[in-house]
Amino acid sequence: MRLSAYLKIFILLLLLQFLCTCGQAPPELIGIKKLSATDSLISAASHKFLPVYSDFVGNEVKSSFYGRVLYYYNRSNYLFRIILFLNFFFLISVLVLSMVLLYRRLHDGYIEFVRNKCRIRYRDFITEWLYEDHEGIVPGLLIKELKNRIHRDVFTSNLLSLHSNLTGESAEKLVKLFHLTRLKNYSVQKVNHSLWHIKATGFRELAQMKIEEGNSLIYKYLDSDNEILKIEAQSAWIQLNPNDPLSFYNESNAQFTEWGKLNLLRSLRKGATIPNFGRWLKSDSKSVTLFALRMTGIFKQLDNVEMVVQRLDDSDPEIRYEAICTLGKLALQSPVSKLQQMLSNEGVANKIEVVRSLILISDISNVLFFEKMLKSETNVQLRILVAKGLVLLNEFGLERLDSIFLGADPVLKKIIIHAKDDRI
Amino acid sequence: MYDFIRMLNYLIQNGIFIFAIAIFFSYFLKAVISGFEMIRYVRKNSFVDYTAIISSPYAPPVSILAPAYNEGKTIIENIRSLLSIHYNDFEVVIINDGSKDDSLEKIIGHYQLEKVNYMVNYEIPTKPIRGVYKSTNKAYSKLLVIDKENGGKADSLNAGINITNKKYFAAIDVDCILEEDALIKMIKPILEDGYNRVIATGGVIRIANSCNIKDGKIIEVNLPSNLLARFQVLEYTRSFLMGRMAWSRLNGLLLISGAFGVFDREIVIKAGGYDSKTVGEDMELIVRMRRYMIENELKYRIVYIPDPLCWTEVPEKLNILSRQRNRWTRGTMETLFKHMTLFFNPKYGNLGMLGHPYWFFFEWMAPIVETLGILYFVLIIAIGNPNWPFFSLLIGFTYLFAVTYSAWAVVFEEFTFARYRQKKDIARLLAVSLIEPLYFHPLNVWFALRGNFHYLTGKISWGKMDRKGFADKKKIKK
Repeated sequence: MRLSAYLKIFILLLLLQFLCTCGQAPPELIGIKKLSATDSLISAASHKFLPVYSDFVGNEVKSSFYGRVLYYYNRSNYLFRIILFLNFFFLISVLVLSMVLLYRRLHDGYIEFVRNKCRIRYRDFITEWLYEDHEGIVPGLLIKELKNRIHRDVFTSNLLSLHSNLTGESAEKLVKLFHLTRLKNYSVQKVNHSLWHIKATGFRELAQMKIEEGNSLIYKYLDSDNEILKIEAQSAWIQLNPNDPLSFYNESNAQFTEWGKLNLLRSLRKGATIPNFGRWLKSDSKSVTLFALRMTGIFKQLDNVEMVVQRLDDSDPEIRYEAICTLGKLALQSPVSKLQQMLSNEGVANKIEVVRSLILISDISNVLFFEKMLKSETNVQLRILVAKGLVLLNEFGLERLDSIFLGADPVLKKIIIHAKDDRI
Repeated sequence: MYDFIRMLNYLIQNGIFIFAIAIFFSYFLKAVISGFEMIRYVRKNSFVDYTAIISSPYAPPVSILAPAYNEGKTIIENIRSLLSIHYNDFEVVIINDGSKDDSLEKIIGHYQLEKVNYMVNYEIPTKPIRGVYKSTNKAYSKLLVIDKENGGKADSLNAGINITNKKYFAAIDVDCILEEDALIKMIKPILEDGYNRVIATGGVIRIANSCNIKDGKIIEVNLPSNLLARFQVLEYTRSFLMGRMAWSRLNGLLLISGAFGVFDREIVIKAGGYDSKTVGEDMELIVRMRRYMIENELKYRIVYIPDPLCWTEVPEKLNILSRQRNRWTRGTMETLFKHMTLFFNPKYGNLGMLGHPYWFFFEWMAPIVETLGILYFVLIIAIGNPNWPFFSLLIGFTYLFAVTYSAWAVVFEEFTFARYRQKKDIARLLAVSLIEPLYFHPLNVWFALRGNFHYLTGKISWGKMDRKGFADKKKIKK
């Protein structure tokens, strides 16, 4: 920051002063008769917006500094008073902010102390609960303690953290403890809270503890305008409905961001049944289609290859791009000719992806196709990739590359040398 | 004649009056908007598990471009630090910009490099590349070193852009220390926006002077012991936490610090790459990228995130600080004047109507106007009969406003990332805020004026920036 605000304010006030005294410019400057002390006092500050010049001229009027401040305060217009007020305001602000900072440090220290104390105690309690038979009875004192938010947060966090690392009977025991300690009610309260970040915390708790009641609470947020809330709701939904995790996709026409898709994939990988994404390959929602295409490739759903090939004719280049990538990941021979045919009509990004996919599919028919491309293409990056494709194909491809090298121009020679260098 | 002078006075003063009011409100508004943005950001990110990005197929490949010129003292450690970044698909490209020292030999020796047959595609014209090196050691497979003829930082970055084929690149100063999760956090905003193309992301630059550094990582954050560096901590905190957050919200960012930023390679190339003729290449590129997007009617955003991701060493000596600030001023002027077509041009939206004019008036002109204000004050004292009680109030007002503004910056820091954990640090920062208006700010104004003078007289040098280096500092500490 090259210019701090304070000096700008200073300039502002100087200018205000200058502006408002333009009608009463210094007599020396404009060559008019010099005002006498009496004249000056008559034209007192009350007539000025900014009292730039002193009303006390020479030795005729003598007063202390504070006397003068009082004089201007009483005689000037509001500006003098406003500035005086702001001075006090800023002074008090600095003091208050300093106190806030001090309090924050002390308070943080205290909270951390309490948390640490609770953390150890609750961790011991939960561990004991796991390994000893309590006959489903939770101490009343604990229930009472959990009414305190700090205690409850620490206990919940301990419980959830331990639960995420357990399965089977042990995990079930913790779910039971969650119910017995009435934490479920608090989680539901969180979901119904007006602040989105508290709602989202509630989603997480209900989902992890598999509280089915959460489904109805979470459902309405699956298509929320708040992107974070939507992502959290969808992740929670997937956890609560592992057998049909993406059922909400059937009804949703909303757009999903890459971040949203990333989180969905992460949730799916946490133990949900992976659905057949062919259901959504022809969705009306572009982002749903893109996600389905990507998932088809990631989860190697070979049955959907025909539907993916159909998406190569889509009018949207992004969908075509994703379909090309998916076919590369599926690495089936059947779409090779289709990919080769479509190449000439695509932009550079899609062309590059077609070549990448063809390299992954590794079909012998690519040799002639790549050779032709190497000679006809002008884009250097694409040519390097094609040459690399020939290198990776097999010995036949490498032989063709050597043959092309003999009659190549200097640029093509460099491209071939680059492609053959396996260190790059 | 008297009436004419009065009228002229009135017009000039009214103009300047509006100017001053605008500055005042701009600071106020920026602080308010930043405050809300910070709260939202911190809440939002409390739900983020950043490790999800590392293993995700949705995370785009990124190339880290780090130009190096005569960095022999610290280059080995700096590269080690960059290679330890947490990200899945990334490469580190070091561009040796014709160093006169033994930088290249050191890198080749330490990282077991050998020259490869790289076909360079000069999509952006640069000085000739003498060679491209890769390591024979698989542990350094992510490292690529370019040796080229000297052409400056911008030219080096262009060379790096030509070489890399990743979708995004991070431009960094090689002597900066990146947090391990820096790339993950910078990439997230790119994934988040489904409606606009995020063409660049910027992060907070923090000051590493006096911090405890081990193996190229910050292990303990300390407030600098040097007073000048301490002033800069306050200055950076104000600027990054209370200024750029607001500009990001308004999609009006004109600058992503050259020390660390992530860019969309395709758009950078289409916009023409870095301009190697300016000393403010970071700002100039952003303006040109934005112009490209607007002129081609493409929806875009430039995002800024407040996490402390990049740590750098700041000048501790006045002469070095002077050179740095001088260069910043010249860089600003070059960019603003080169793109004067944007000035209050509604065709360019926020860029034309808000960003460019703001920088023109409040960043470039402000030190000049401020100096004029001081001269006017002196003039009043010399020829008038100044109203001292009133002036005392004004001086008190400006001083207290400055201190309050800085105190708010400290509050922002404390309530968000709170990286200065020692109890004394907060007290020290507050103490610095009391001195800063009287010492550091006038210096900055003076340096900016010198920058203006040098720009007008055609001085084009980068200005040597001597650094102690983190490696040296470690030894001193030991």
